[in-house]
Amino acid sequence: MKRIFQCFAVAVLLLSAGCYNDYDAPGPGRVYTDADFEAEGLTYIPIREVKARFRAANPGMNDGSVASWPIEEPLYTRGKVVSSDRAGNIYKSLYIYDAGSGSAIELKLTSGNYLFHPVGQIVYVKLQGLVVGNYRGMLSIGSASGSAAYSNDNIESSVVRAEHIFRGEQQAMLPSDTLVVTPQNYRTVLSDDDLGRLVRFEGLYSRFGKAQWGYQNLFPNYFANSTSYDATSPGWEDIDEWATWAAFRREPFPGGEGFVDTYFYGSAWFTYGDLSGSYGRYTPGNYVVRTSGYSSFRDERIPTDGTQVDLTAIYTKFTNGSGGNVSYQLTLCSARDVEVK
Amino acid sequence: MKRIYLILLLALLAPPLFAQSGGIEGRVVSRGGRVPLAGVRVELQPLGASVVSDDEGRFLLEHIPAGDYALRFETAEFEPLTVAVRVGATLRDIRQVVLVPDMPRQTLDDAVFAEFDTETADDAQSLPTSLAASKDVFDNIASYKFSEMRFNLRGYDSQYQDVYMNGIPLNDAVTGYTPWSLWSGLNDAVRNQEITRGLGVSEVGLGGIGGVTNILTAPSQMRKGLRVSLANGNAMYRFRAMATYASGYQDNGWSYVFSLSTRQGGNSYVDGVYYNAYGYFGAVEKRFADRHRLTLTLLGAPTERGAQQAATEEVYDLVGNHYYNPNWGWQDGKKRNARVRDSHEPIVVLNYTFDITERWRLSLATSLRFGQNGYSALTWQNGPDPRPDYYRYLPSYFAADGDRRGAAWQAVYWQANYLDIRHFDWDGMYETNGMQHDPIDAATYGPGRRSNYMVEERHTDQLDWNFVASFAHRFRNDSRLNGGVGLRRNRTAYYSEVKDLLGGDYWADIDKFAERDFGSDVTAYQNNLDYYEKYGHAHAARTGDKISYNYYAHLIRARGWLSYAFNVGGLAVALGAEAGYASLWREGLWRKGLFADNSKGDSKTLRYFTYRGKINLAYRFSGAHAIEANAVWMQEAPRFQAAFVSPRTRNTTTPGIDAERVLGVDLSYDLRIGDAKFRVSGYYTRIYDQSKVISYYDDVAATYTNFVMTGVDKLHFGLEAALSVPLYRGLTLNGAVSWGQYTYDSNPEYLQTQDNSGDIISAGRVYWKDLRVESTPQTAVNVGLSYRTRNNIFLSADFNYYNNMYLSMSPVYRTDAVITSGMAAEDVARLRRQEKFAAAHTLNASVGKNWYIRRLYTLGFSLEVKNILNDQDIRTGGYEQTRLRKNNETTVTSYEPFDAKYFYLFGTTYYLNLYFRF
Repeated sequence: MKRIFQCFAVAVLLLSAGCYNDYDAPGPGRVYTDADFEAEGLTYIPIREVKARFRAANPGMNDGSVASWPIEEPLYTRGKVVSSDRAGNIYKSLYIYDAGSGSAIELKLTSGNYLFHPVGQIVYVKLQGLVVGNYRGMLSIGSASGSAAYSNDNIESSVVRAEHIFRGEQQAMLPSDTLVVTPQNYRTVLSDDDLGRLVRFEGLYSRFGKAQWGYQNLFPNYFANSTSYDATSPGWEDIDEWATWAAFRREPFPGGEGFVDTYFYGSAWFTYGDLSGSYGRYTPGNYVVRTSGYSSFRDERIPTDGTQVDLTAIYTKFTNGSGGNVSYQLTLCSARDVEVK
Repeated sequence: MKRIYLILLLALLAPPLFAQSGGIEGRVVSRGGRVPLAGVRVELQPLGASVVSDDEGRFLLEHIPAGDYALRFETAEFEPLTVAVRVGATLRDIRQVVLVPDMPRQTLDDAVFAEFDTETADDAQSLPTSLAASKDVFDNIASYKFSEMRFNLRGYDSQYQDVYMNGIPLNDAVTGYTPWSLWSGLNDAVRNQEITRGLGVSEVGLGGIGGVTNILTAPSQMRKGLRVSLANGNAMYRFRAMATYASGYQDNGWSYVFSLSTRQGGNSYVDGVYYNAYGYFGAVEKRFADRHRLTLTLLGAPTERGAQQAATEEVYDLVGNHYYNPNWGWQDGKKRNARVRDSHEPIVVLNYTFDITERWRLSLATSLRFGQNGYSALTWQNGPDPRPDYYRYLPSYFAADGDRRGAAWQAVYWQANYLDIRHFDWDGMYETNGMQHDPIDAATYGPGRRSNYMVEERHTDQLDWNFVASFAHRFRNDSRLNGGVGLRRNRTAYYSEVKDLLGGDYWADIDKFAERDFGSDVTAYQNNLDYYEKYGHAHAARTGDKISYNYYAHLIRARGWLSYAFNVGGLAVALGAEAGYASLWREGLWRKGLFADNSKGDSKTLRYFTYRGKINLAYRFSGAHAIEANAVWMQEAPRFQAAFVSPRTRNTTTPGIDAERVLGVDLSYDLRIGDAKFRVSGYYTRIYDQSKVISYYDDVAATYTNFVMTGVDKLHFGLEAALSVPLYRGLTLNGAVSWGQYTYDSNPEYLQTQDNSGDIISAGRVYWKDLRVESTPQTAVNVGLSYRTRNNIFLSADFNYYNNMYLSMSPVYRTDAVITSGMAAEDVARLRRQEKFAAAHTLNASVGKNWYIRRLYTLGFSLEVKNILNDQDIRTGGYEQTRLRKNNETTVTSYEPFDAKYFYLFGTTYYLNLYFRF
């Protein structure tokens, strides 16, 4: 009897000592450096050269072309993160800037990039197997697209991201990381080479509607899919009164009970006041701040007509499918990046 | 030697009846359910006189010379029992002789029904209708042998089986589910049960349509001695140890029982699933002056167990088996499961019984259930969905997007488990949380790292108090009157709390869906607006802090019942009626930003009149033949979670909510010839006006929604039959057939509202009339052979066949809201079609043996092997996902369902039990 009890007690003690929730927390993640990639035999290529190689691979293309450069060479590039998608205005993209070559490019990744790649972080990209592509004048690095309409796609696969995107050192943002544009130099310091960069526009004016510039719609305007609205559209006549960066509308479900929610992109016009030149729809010194209906500052007001602001945003370009009708669009990371003077 | 004799203590209390000569009479019953045992050989030693008990278990030995004897009881399937008796000059009635099943009963614990995640908001544990079985030949087979397929008797949800403990109703007050998990692993301590089958009238309350199980914990009714068992298996947990000691009734009027148990480890098939469970039980009883009994019982089962989640067929194909579990990932070299049930809800029960006279008995009982019941889940604020099998991470998503190359690579990654793609990336989550030093957060919440990923624990902590006063009276004509009143007060706390910040310092407690929709209005996405207004920011919650939602469910139930049973010749009649009142309301403890005026404080109180009426008729033509007919009509209050549109956020009650009503009838024929038993029954049940609320992300409306259904009717009818026939010298043939048809019998109304605003998104009907009720095989067949040798070896083999199993349906697919103009009729039909699983069969076997050591101890083992054919393609359940995919590939926009998720029966499993008792 005694032995049976002893065996039972030992068995219980040995086997019931639960250790199911005893986990050591992992240490901080690895911080990559150039040496890690050089050790793999990869060759560094600056972002400016990535763009140049793309253009070399696509002679004769225009900004509207579906064009790509699938990278098959053992190359890597790097840049400092200059964008944040925390506010939801930038979606699934990360903009990195290479101070050495003075060039920036968009990485097409996934949502929540600010969590993994905060502003100031150096990001390394193993390029072999990825695709540099063009979309209406903007170059980006992503994965191959399954659609003929697009030259590349977001890197949705966590495995592919893990194999190509690496975190480097976290650095402070330097004044030189932001290109400063003023009423005096906007014609000279800003070019297509700066697309994807973080740019601070000083002394811009907000301009509501009525101007003979830009799209057919008056500014600000809102659109979702193929439907657009501005101050002249039924139900939107008082846009000037409430104009916000973007819009959300709940409308009765057509022909039935319930509602349909729609998130509208918003476009606001900012200008240095120079409408003298004319390059189709593009006039230097005029910019469209384009904001997603999913952004957290969607409902904040656009500075009213005539307000002068300093505005910091990612500098982007958008053309039609033929490369015409150019407009330069500014993408805000946050509404705080618009400072009323 | 005398220690092996169990002297039935009730016999001591039984007043001797007047008799004409010396003798002994009594009644032999089984310990489980006190079921009369017919055919028991009763031998008086050393005199040698013997008789066999009759159908009522009664025996009579007359004309016995005065003296001391040993009375030995023997029958198949039960341990032989020897009782010391003294025969005087009169006939002595030793009343009840309780026999214990010979082999360790195939008692199930709730572990066999591994906890499964579903995508519904209902985290409550769903269990089959029966984890206990009566002596009834069909119920025994259905409960034990069909359990592998999550078989539900007559297709009923477990809420229709009433479970009591010493007369206290213990079905979950909020969900109605049977409460077996509260005493998991305490099999020996709760083995003593009174079972009322089906529609029968129970003495502790009328009962519903699924029968009544009353667990008896009075120590004086438990077998004296120590029982120890060790079990090893690969289907549920690796190891179980259980020890129980019962004092038996002592001369000083005291008796007591203690039991301890533990279950540890996982199984051989599903990774990340484990048990870390304990059980304790203590009961003490005191008899005063022979007529008063006071019993105090305390039991609890601190249990931690990892859950499994179903997966799509695509995932199963990629990983190469049907047991993939997406709930876990590697951390510190160990498997860590995000979905862990961690509960400890002790129950204390106090019973007082007063035998006022030989014919009147008064019973008072009160109980309290308290403690905590948490269920963890990974949650995150932003960024990609961290669940490994999220649909966007599967090859099918890439393929649907036209990226065939990406799809092919993704398939390769999954097949090779490249970079652990199949599992949670715990290290990555720690790393991400550790990086969060955003100055915006620092300005708002102060220093520290704001966790983006976190393990929360969702609680449903009950405080459940019961009081029952009942009486029983036996008239001189042997008719019986039972009645009582009961009062139940339940307050269940619903909240979530931070369990693990995964390397971060705090969790910002905001509503992320509301933040997306109302990002500019900071008050709109506050979970606790009062906190925000006091401190100027959301709560930066630390480990153990409450987050997300915090409210009480309040319930009050009162009932009174009366039943009367009498015999007229061979006709036995039982009539019963119950009337009651139920009220329920929500009490919000936080003011939700989106519903500042409708979330804190008491909601409207919902009040319902409840009632039950039953009639049982049984006619015995002879000792061999009997028929039985039963009927019930009842009305129940709706369940709390169905009574509120979104109880996590606000006080709004479900529009159109109504009491649920049930009509049930059945008819049975029983045949007993010698040891051969046969029963066949037909049943017909209609359930009216059930309600249900599900919450999910609606891809069509692009928002989180609540989907309320009212007027859900069901129809259950079918036949069940079983037999047990002794063939030759200990060889017995068993068999059972359950054939039913369980269908939805209405197209219920639904109302879909946006969780963030309460706005109606759509309304209409769910078109599922005549489609099948899910979750159980509607056809089940068993054929088995059992063999018991004279030297206590037991062998059995069973062949089971299942058919008519159906996938659990998403009501969303069966509404007009997902029909777009231009969809062809076949597209609509395809969307609404219900999937039927393939028929399946299994082969199981068991072997066991007892050794009686020096006639003092019993040592034995049993080994059960299930699914010997190792068929790993048998679906036991599954559900349609509520999400829909928008298909723009064709010229017409249409919606397609996401792939369904399935559970599969394990391959070959074993369960080895070694036991010792004296």
